[in-house]
Amino acid sequence: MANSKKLPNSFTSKMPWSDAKHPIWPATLFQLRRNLENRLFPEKLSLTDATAVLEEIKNLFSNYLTIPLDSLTPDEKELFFERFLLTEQFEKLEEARAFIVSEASNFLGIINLEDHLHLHLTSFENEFQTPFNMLQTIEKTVAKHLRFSYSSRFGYLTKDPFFCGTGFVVQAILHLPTLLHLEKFSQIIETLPRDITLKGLSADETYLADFVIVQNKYTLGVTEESILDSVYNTALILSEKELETRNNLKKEDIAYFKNKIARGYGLLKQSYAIETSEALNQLSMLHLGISLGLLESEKPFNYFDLFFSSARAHLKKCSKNKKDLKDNLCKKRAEFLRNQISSLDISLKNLYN
Amino acid sequence: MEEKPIECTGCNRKASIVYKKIKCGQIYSSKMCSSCPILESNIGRPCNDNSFTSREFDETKKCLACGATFEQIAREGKVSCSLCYQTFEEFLLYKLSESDAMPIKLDSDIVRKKTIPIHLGSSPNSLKGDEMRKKLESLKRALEESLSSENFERAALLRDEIKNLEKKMYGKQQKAS
Repeated sequence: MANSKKLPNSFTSKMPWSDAKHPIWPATLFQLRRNLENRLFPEKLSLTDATAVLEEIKNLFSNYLTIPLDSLTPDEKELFFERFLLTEQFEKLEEARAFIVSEASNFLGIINLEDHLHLHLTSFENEFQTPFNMLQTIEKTVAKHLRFSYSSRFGYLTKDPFFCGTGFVVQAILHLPTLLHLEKFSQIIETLPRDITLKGLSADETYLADFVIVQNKYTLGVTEESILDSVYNTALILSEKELETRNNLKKEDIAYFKNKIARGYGLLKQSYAIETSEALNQLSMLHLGISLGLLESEKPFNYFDLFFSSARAHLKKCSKNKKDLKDNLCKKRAEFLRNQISSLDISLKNLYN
Repeated sequence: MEEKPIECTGCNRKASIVYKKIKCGQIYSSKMCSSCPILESNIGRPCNDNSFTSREFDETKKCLACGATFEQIAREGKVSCSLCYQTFEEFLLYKLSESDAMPIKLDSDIVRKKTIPIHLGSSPNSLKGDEMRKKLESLKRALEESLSSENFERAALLRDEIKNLEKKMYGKQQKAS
């Protein structure tokens, strides 16, 4: 049965990445997958057994907010997806499944989805040891009371064997518009270490909004420390290359970006209706324009606030008239962005010089 | 009357491999045994295939805990319980190795010798004192085996993990003192 639902206050009081400081490397996500010993994995669990697992885990997170999945509307669930950039598959069955979330909403636990427990931590510092220690502390707290499914050969056992071993995935999220647009990226990819994989934010693996996710390729046959080192070093190299490229743009490259930025600004300021992907791609250009000093804003420009606000569930949440939204989401998004861009009082003086 | 087995064209033993060679636009085909020295010299490596990929799997296996069959595991690529890992161990290792989901390619020796560590990360009772020393010993053994079998890629990986572990142990000793 659904418990009474309450989303954390931080869901309404601030946008997901408002604490991000670094314009190129705004956030890193740390994920850990675990299953309990001597239990079938969630998909095969009976409702009684799944409820027992849920209760056992939930009780260890008394300081966190537990939100049963069956108490959430599809829009609220999508809100979690957007906020934590989740990739988990949500099965139709929602009973005995829950989110555990910290009040600051930088930590999310998922119970009984693909595995018995997924731990997600978002960090806005470009330093890995502190968030990793935090994640380990949470894991050890659970391990004090519950035994995890483990074998000496495969390590921690997960439903998807591709995540067994450490069950640990680190994703550094980088905004790399100049590297991607100047087609330097394919050369750079060839120089990356073998234990790293790159992907985009959208399901079709394109680099939506010029975001590149640097992620460890292996979870088995490597240590947690080597995963951290490898993702950190690669993210550092890529963000430095992006910065270097921005600082050394050739005349023709500047002309190319000026055109892109001006068009992006025009689209966001004048659109009647705009799709999410188009909006996010144009916002990326605006963000670059501000970073390069080609655009000047009277008020602080928070790219990540606009980024998340343009996504479907967040846009719906912020809208007062929900009924009006059903068929007019693209119109609503365009209206929201028109208002936001206008309120920033952006000067294009440097762009046309 | 029992048919005479096809013999290796190189050494007259029972043939098990069809070897085809294209020379000057012509295809030359010969049936050879798997340990034929002539075939070995032709392809430049031992041909009695010890590689993990050529192994066959028992497709009738079924997990006793969740009932998952080999066919299900192979089709879905996911397992349903911990025992599946034990039941389909060789197949899962093969899949992981073939799909580049591990830093090294496994061969059948590593799979059969269950003492060789594949998982190098932390364990539930996170490696303290004796466990750390035991893990170090088994990593060093695996390094020696990798070097003697000339698996240098794996050896390099193991050497790094040994360094990491020694650093951890040394660091802890320093803190303790």
